[in-house]
Amino acid sequence: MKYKKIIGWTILLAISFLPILPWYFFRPETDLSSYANFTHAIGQLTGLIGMTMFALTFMLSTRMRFIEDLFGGLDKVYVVHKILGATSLILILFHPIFLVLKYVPSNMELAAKYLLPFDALAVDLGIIALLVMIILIFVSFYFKIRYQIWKFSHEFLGLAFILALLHIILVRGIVSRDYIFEGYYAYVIIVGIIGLSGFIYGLIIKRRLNQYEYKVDNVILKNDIYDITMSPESNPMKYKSGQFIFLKFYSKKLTKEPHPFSIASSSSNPKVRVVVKNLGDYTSRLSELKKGDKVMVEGPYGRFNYARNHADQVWIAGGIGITPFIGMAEDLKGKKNKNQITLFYSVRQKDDFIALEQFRAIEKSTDTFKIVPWATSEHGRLTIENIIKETGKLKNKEFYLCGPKEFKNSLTNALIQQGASKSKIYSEEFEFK
Amino acid sequence: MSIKNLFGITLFIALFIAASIIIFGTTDQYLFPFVYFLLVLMTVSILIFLSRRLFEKKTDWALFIILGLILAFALTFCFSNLKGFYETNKAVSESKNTLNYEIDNLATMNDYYQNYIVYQLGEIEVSKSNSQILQNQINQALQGSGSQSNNALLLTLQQRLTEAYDDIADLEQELVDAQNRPPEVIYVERGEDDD
Repeated sequence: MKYKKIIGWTILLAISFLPILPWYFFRPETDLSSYANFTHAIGQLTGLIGMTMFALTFMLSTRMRFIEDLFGGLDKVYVVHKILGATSLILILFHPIFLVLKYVPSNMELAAKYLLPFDALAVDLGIIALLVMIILIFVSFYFKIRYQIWKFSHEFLGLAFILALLHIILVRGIVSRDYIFEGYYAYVIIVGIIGLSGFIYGLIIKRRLNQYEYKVDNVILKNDIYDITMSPESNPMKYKSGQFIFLKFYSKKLTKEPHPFSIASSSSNPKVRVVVKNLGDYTSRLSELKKGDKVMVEGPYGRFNYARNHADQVWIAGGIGITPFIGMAEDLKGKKNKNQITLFYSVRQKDDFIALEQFRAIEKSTDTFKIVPWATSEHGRLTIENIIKETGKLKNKEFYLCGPKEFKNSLTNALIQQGASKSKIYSEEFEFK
Repeated sequence: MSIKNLFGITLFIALFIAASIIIFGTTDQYLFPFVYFLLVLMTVSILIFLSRRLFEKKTDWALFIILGLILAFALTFCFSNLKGFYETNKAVSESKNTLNYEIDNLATMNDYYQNYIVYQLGEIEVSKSNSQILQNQINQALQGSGSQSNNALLLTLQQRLTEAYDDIADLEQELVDAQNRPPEVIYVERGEDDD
């Protein structure tokens, strides 16, 4: 799994940095030791690499199976997408700055002129694209906006890409006053195809694939937690417990964009169960769901599944991060497993426990599963010492973590410090924004 | 350092460099409010970012120090240049005032020369009329009897008068041309003559 991720990153970075080769071998002959030529070259390279990375971010958001396989699950793909998107913007931010730095010692006025709009159309398009990117990525990182608004606004990055593409088409010659490199338009075409096909596929095609029609069977609301069960209208979706799906509920009071939820039912179950915490505007309206409401299920995605090998496993859940473990534990019911599985389930208050009776029943049905409920209000924070005390030495064990980011990060660091192998720690990324 | 923080810091640095280049590079005073707005926006955003981290007690001290230094540098840089910034602005305004005064002067001079030309054209018309009368008188005298020497004198006068006519016509044409020229051409030519 981990080596696949390395291959995935290697492929991405190789494609991203590939434009350096034609740039180096086919550029006009210039002396790179001079300040002006050097800063100009850096400016060109940040633009070329940044634009390639920007195009690749659209491919990463297509939810294609082979990309998911490369990075070990769609949740991981979105993390890569986020890192690559931010890196591309960082590079693109410095593209105009390095290009004008060559004028700074001699002609500051000219440098300022190139950074301001209304001088040349190609430059204006680039400035607009950059501003759209800055605003959307800034909002994405630093503002807590509703998922549906964030998702809608994020689509406008496609517009930024189209503007940036027009910029790189028009910029050669008059504006850039050089050829950049021989075969530059081949680069533009390839980047354009990667970005536009990824954007169009994501916008139109992906929403029509991997879709299954379901209907709501039952909705139970308890302590701000919704327990929703759905049954298939026609072909049931094949999935493994621990994976996640996108659900689009056809109810008058709910918006129509798909939202991601972990599957909380066992692998063999044709019905799909999700357990959702009331966190905001959208989830608060799930109470409006009625039996028989149509649901479009898209998926399954993710690779968070326990069935890897026969090593003893430690599952650690924080709060609502318990949801993938419900289905995974259900899979163990009545089975004689070779490996021992211990589930640590941490919540703030005792009342916050979900499906605790269900876990107890599974514990009774098999000798190899044990649940350790942990209310922090009574026992304090769940620490690595508590885990070692319960499971013994950490070496050779596998660890599965799901929960809030800080909870996951602190435990992952502690596990590694106590001798757990990093390659045997699997976690589910909860945040998609 | 997370990608989110790295992005925030590089965004700030990039905007800061861009704003500095624009401040130093532009002489267009209408862009100054835009630059001020950019600087204020950056300062406010960085303060919000820092205060949020402080209030949430998630202070990463290395990040805090880096951002603090950048902010201190940015503010020092901005304030140290603010004086020069205003002085440049003031100098530009003063230059504009001087230029406007020059333009007004030029317009007044231009009006004066236009009137002078019209007056001179009038004078030429009068001279032409007087010359015509004199020409007629010479012609009449030539037709009457007279001594040989008087006739020769009259012929000489007639020839001079014709030449004077030509000179008047040339002068008239020059004045008309001068009247039709744009003011700045007159100004430049006047300047060259002064040299």
